[in-house]
Amino acid sequence: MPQTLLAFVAIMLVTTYTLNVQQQYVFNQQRDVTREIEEMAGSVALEVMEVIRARPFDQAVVDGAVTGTLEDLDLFSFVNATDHFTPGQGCSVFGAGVDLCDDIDDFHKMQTALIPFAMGVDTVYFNVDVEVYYVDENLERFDGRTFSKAVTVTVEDTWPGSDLEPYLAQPVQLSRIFSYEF
Amino acid sequence: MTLLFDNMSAALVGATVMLMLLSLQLKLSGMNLEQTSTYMVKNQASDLATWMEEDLLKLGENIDKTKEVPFTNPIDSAEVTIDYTFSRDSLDTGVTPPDTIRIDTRYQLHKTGVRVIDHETIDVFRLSRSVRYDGGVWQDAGGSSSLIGFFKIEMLDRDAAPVADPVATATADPAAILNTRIRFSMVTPFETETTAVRKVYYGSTLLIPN
Repeated sequence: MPQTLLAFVAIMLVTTYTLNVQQQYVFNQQRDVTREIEEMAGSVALEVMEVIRARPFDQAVVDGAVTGTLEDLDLFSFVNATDHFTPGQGCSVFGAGVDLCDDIDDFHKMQTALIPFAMGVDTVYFNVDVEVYYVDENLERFDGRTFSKAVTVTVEDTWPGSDLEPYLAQPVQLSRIFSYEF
Repeated sequence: MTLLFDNMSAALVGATVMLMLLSLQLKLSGMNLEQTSTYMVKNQASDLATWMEEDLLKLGENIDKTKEVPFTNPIDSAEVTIDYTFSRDSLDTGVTPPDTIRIDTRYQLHKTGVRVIDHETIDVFRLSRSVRYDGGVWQDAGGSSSLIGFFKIEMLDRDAAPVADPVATATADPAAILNTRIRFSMVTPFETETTAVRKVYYGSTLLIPN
């Protein structure tokens, strides 16, 4: 009887240990793949941010209505406290529609863009969303016109043509603040 | 033998336990090998990305871009960039009046062999970096490991679209080229059958300073 019990305990211990090792193995693989997808998502976010950075600060600048003085503040776009700018544009630069999106705030809550991360023969796709809002001198959201706009790019992996859920537990976000230059 | 037969159950259980421990040991060794391999390639890719970013973020520094274009067209072959040269000026305060020193940096990709990754044969390369000062001779100034599987440098316009002839475009309009985009992949130095990550990827879009 004691021999059987000892044998049982031994098998139980080894089985538990095996399960732990297997779990660790799966965790390691998931972590490695996640890290790679995060790296790609970060790269896509940076590229989107560079596209937005290349745009003028506001439509008033595009229209040439600004004078390079403090009075320019009144010319800047502002819709309401919920959405500082008009949402829902389909920005053609990201292939998400036909809108020109020629200044920074045109990208606010634009239609979700599908951007590939092409690498030779391998391609991973990412959904990209953008939020733009005014910030005050403390870089906090301010429900009114200021000379600074915060842009947050949110990137999440997607697998077109399949039912797969995003691999990343949380999307990658990149934020930058752009200020009006006098 | 008699002892073994007298304790048949114990012997069987013991053998099972030993076998399980042995297979676990093998699994753990494989896991460690994979982790080491992944860590190595990730580390090397990070090093490469870091010094390339430091280089490229200085592209055109102190150069009047309305008078000259501080880069050459990236030369591609078989979908990878094999040659790229860019310049910046460093201030020489050792002379009166202060002058500038032209620093040219050149990246060249050299094929070092082939690797079989996931039943697919791919070429692997080494990136060499060389610099020259004031048009002197090129000096070897470091490089990557021989694990690069893909390497591409592109010059981008305001829509992050690659420009086919960046030098001609920048000559016509110095403000037309806004960013450089680098993308590369590196393969793991060794792998096991179950390795999850056999290539690591890196990509970055860098602003060309005014």
